[in-house]
Amino acid sequence: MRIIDAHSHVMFGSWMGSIPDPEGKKLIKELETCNISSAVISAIDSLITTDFKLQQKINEKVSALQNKYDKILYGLGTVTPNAGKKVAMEIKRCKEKLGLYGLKLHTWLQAFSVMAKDCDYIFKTASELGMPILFHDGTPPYSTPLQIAHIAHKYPNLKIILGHGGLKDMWIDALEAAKKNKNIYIATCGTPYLGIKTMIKELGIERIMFGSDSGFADASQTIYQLNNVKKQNLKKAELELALYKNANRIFSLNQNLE
Amino acid sequence: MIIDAHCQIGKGRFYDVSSKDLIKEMRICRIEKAFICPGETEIASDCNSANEKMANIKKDFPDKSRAWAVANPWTGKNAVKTLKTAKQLGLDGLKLHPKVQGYNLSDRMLYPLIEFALDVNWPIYADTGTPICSEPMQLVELAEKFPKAKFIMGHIAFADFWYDVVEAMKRSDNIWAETSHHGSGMLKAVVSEISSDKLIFGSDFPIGNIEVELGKVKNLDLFDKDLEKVLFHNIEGLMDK
Repeated sequence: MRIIDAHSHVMFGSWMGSIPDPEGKKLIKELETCNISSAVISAIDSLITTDFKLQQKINEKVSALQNKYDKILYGLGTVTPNAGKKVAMEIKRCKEKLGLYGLKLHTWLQAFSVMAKDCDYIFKTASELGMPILFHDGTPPYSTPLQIAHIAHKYPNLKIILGHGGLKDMWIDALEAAKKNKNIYIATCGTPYLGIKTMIKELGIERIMFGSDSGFADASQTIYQLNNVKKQNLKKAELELALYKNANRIFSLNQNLE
Repeated sequence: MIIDAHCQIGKGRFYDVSSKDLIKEMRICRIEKAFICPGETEIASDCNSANEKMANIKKDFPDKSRAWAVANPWTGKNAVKTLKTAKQLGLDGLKLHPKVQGYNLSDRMLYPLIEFALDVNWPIYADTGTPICSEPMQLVELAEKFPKAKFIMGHIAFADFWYDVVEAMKRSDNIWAETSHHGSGMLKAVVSEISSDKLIFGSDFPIGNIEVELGKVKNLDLFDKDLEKVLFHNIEGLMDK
């Protein structure tokens, strides 16, 4: 069965001793090892900096990698709210020139709260351009599901993906956030097995996507996250939605699924 | 031989499982023995009754179960009475659940419970990973205050304390780590930077899926002798010491 990993990473440089993957070879090998057809990726390098110019360069590298691995890698860009109004131009560039499929915001690592006023430039632009935003979530004090849900409430046309479905301690908040806001979707990585099961039951399978959070460990991490979805006793049609059809639709990847 | 060091039986948020449910899963996954504890609802509301239920399950499945006892430290001396009764009922260790019971893992109100566990040679399982109440460094505070007590860091402090875990375990050699929920990268870090002697398999059934959690541990590419330690020797050793 086709599988799209809705929450994956590449690491061009090195961070805390990790092995650099400047050409995405490690990432591609991991996808092959796990029988994953495609992945929606962001660059860890740009999630650990508040340097807007550096983020712009990394957005270009993500775009180049996406072009190199056409139909396999689908890139997300990022911006820092510290750049003020300039983020609007960069988000537009990410979509129209670089061909990226959305944004990734890791508010904890990137050191800002979604409540900060300058973030509105990001959310307003992404909403107007139809760019989904995948958030790291589940971590106080900047990345809780209900903080992010407030943005979903303010921008009802903005597609928001809770990248970890609330993690171990906040998946119930993620569930409530998604129940109230139809523009919130869930990626499963880090959500406990019971949390995924409950979300499928209460939200419906159409809003659940497999994600691995890969890029921080090796293929065994991805297989673990994948099994937490595969072992949910889903019907084939439901599993297809969770494993690739939903990601294809929500990120507008336009894969031919025939 | 496989021992699951942490399974829940009873009610919690979005679950209600019986001993039969657990035994069925154990049979499928070839788990010989499980350490059971009450569900969240009972841990939060009625520890005495919860411990009695665990004791009854132990009687029903004497070869397949051991049990963690719970007590509410907010009740002061009554908490120690609860544990004394649990010991008489045949329970095997103390479980702390700061998030559900409402205290910080470093709180002095826990001291009488730890002292009791030390007196009866019980290991202590602590649910960890929730800021601001159950962090690895809070467990270190407890571990240093009671260096002879044996603490298990439940769920290896999943999710966001991956830097703290190794530092906490390097600093306190009376801390072990239980594997549920955390990714394989964290488990491998414990093995490589601390020792396979310090990792203990647990599933956190039914919040975790036993088959998936066991598969994760088996997929770590450990040597057989190291895998055996993680799957049963280490938890057995804590009980026998």
